Amino acid sequence: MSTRTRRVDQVIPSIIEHDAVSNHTFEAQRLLRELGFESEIYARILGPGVEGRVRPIGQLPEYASSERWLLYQCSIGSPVADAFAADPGRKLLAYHNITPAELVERWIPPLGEESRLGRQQLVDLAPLVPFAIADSEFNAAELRDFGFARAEVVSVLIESANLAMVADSASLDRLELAKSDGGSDWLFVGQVAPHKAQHDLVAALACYRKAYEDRARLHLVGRPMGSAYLDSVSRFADSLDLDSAVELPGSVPAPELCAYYESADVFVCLSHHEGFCVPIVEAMARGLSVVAADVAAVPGTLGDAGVLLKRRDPAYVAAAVHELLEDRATRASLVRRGLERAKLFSLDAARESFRRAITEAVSDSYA
Amino acid sequence: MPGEGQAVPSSPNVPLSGLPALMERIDSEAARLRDLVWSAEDDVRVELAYEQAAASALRAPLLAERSVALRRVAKRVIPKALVPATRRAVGVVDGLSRWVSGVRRARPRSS
Repeated sequence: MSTRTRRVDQVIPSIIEHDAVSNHTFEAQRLLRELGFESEIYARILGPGVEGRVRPIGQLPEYASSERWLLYQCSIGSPVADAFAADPGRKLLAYHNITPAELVERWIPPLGEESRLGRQQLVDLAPLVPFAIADSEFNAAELRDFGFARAEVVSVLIESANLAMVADSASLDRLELAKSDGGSDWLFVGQVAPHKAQHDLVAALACYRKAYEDRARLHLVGRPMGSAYLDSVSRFADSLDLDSAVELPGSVPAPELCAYYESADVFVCLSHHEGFCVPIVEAMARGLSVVAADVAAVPGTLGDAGVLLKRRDPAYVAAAVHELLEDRATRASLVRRGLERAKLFSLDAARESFRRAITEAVSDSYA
Repeated sequence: MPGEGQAVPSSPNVPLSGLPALMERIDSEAARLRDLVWSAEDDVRVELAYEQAAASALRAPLLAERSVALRRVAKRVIPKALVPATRRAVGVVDGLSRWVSGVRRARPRSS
């Protein structure tokens, strides 16, 4: 570690509670301070619940290049990238992936623009950043394509509360009561957003109910990315007469989230794009079997601890869920494998790889 | 630090049997569903239903935006005495247009 630099500040476009990148940033700050660095977080958009822990980007103080490393937590295009580029401090970047514009721009045109901007900003930042980290090999490969000389994988610092907490008993009772009427429970956790393709889950559930269990249910937990896509998923479920079978509870507190993981029979992910997919790790850690579309970073996260789908049409997804639920021995074997695999992404493991990466990055060789 | 290409942690050493057989059964079961339960017409029907839902959902905010803009203009140009009658007329036109376009109000979903 450099004997001179004792400060690593972080900058991030927006920060909010119950968000994987935001949680990662707070954990990173904790770890940096444990390593003996002074460390503050500066954001352009401060969501509710972060008061006193995050400062506005306009207050980012300047330091001489030898006195500070600046770590940019990147997941979207933002003027924060310009502030990061202009800062005289030495630069680190953590990449959580930017959802391709074509997957979101129909729904939220400004987000499509921010996505394109973000990818261009990464190309521009590449020569300025000697050392970057990414939370999956998929993301690291993208960074190399953008021109970054060094891109190392450090798993997301996952909020351990989601993995270990006791499930909320009232929520669990409600979910178990519904289950007592028959039918299995499908679960997906993630922002209700077009690239997460909740509508494909609704279509697959329609096929599954027609073929196997007409009382199966789908729980789509997560805060909506804008109202239009949420509205379309809701209208779509209504049009297939699934309004009482598809639940959209929004973002829920950790104990309630644990209740969903505990009562579900299968976690199904049909996302078109994932930079890592924290909920897959959470599902594995809670002993829930996983069926997921084989796209982007998903195979790197799930490995062979679940069923990776090469196709995503309703019949194929329904058949996959059915066969997995019927084959108890293979399912139990996958669950055991998932429990072991989740440990590879545990907070302790991620903290250790983050510590190693930061120690190397701020060493004199990258100064 | 892991080097390039070593980044994804290796799978844990838990014996796994049955996954290849499960994948084969998924293929054959999906084919059976295609033949007997879920046809290509079902795919088209569901896709159309989603496109209709999406189109309605995307139109709703635009309509709301236009409605606010129209209200601002109306406030400036319609005499106060004519406001109730104008409101009734707009209600009738709104109801008719909704009926014609098949747009439904999004229902709040309970948890």
